[in-house]
Amino acid sequence: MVSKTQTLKDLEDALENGASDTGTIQKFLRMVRELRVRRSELVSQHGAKLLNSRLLGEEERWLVHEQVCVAALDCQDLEVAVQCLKKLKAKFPTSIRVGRLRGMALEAQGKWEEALVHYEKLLAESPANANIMKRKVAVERARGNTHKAIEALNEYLDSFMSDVDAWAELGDLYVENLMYKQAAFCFEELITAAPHNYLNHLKYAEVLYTMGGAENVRNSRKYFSAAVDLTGGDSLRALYGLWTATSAIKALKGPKDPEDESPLGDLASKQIVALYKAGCPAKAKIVEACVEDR
Amino acid sequence: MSLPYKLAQTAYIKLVLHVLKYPSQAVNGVLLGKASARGSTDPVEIIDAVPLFHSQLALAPMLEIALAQVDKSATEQGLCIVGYYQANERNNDNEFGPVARKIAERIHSNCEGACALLIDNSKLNKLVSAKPPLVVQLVTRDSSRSWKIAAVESALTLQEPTATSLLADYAREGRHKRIVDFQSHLEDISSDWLNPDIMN
Repeated sequence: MVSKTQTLKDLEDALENGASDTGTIQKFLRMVRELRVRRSELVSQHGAKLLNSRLLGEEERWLVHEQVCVAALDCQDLEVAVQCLKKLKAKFPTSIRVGRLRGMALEAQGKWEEALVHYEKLLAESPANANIMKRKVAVERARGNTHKAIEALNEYLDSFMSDVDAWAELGDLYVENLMYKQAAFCFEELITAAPHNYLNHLKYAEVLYTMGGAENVRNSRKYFSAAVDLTGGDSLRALYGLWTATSAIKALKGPKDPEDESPLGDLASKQIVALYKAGCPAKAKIVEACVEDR
Repeated sequence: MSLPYKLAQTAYIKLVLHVLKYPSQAVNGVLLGKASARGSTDPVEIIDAVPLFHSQLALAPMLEIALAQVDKSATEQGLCIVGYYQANERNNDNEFGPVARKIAERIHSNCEGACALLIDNSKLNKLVSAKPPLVVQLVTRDSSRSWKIAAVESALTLQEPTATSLLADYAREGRHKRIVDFQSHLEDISSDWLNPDIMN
């Protein structure tokens, strides 16, 4: 059976190679919606042709309008976006979902203040609307107000604590602002929410290592090991982390911990070299020299 | 007084292609070249660029790994790390921020003439115009140890004046899709961050 991602890729290739029939476009747009991926350029370029097509049933027609509108805003194609927005507004005059699009149109024009006022109005009508609250975060991020973005995201998480994507975004925002301690807290939440996702362990370990200090570095090794474990030794990033943390622990001054001496570092470097010999022999020599250095 | 810097076509093109590949993210990398001898005022030659990351620039472990490997590989080619480059995430953010300063400082501690290049995001949209401008700004470290965008534009010159138009050609043909950074190498070991074929 052909996977959906492959289907999407085939449709994408077809469009890029000049296909422009409404059938292909319709299938492509459906796939993009279903897989929740972002293909703004192609969607806005071809989607406009579909808006009035007889192929679309009533429900799909409006979904396509929304989809094309967002993609066009992404690509700064305001003309197409406004055209979709007008029709959607006429059809659904009181819809919050359409209201969100209007806010996004303001954002696309850099009218940050107006967009925020607009979102506040929508929130007064429908408090704790997740999508609108998220737009507020986006506005603050886009205009470089990171501290306000962090505030807005925290406010959102007060209502939607189980949204792992939001925790991940907050963690990243903290890292960007060098607020590692707060970032560590977010990644702890993520590990609790999704203990089998090695990326959370890896990110948490990298934050701990960056913070430095004996306790953090020792802890980082535990989480790097977990990441190596969860990936069965296939993640180069996790292996490098484990090796670096082990070397850093060896170099720590002050009281030693019985666990400091560990074979994990050697195991990691052996596996790293093995991966290079198999997958990238040209770099094996340099890497070998690097991981033996310390 | 700040040293003059000569930027070779290969270095310039590689670093800008890296920026183009990730238009909505902050990216960074290092510059390889030949430092001038201590006390000399000969230009520092920037010969090559190695793209490193396109997200999470503020985390230390993988940066340490990358710097160690790039340094070894440069030494083998008779070069050293002579600088750092960064593109900020947002279009109108032209600050050489704390992370950039920290990494640049680290490179500087190994190479006295080291400089940094900050991508001028506001010029990226003119990259494929008839007269493409230089889209990087020279950032140097002054005697009070602070990193500032160089006031004198002539401090940075292109080795080959054709670099900007060649870059425009490459951008038009979508060559940035082929550029590989250290971060993608970590995800796919066979991707070579030296990008040996990108200029062919």
